[in-house]
Amino acid sequence: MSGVFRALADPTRRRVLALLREKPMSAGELAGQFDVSKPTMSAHFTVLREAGLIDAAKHGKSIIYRLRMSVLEEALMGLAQTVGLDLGAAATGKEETL
Amino acid sequence: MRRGFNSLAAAVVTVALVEALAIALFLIVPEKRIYWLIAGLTMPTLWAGVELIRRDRRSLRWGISYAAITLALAEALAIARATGAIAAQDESVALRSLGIACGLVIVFFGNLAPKKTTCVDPASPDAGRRQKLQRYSGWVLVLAGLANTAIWVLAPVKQAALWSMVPLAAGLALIALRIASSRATRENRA
Repeated sequence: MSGVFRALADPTRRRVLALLREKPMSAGELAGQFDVSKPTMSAHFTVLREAGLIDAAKHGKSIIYRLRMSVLEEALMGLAQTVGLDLGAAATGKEETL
Repeated sequence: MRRGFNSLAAAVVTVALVEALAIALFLIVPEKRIYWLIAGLTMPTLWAGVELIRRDRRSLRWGISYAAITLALAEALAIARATGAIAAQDESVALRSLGIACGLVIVFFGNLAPKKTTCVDPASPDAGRRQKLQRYSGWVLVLAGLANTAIWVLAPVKQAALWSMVPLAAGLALIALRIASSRATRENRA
């Protein structure tokens, strides 16, 4: 569960999840929505995948990400977004940098 | 871990539990053996049918597990009655406990529904619509299950048996309406 808290702690990752709520998207499409480098985005995807919140499927040359959140995890994300809690710091005991 | 292993393990464990309880009932209450025979044969028959269907076998196995847990709870209650673990005057407590347990099972499976049902091809143009339907169904089932549980906790047993069906029926109706409207939208676009 601490992996989920860590994943939901970061606003960029929460935005990725919010985008994936609409439809599955390729890594390129997602990266295009953010003003961060590709390695940073890739690290965000890895954290989300390891937490079990998204999964990836290879389609031709691109990787398509899709949401894999339970109702409870979605509710936690909504709470983190609304209250702006730093769940990651609570879970790991330190601030996270990528 | 191999894909589909979790759903298979859940189906094996829950159906085995139903069978074990059916055998126990067969021995404890032999005069009603026809009921226990039906209870014992239902889940393996349904499961065999599911295994013959190739499409979306994983989510069907989760459905079998849900049905098996509910049946196992009813069997456990029958054993408790037959062995005198639940006295006749405590029957309302037993019925309430069964109602609460069934509500919580609905919450549990509703919570996992959007996570476990990964039958949609993410590259298909229809993937977004189907994903939204799965999420909606999960939320509705969780809320209906919580409402069902709350009714069993708070209402008098006689009323609870009737009123606890209302949120479930409403939830299923909402899901059916959403599926119908979503299909209609897709066909209009096409």
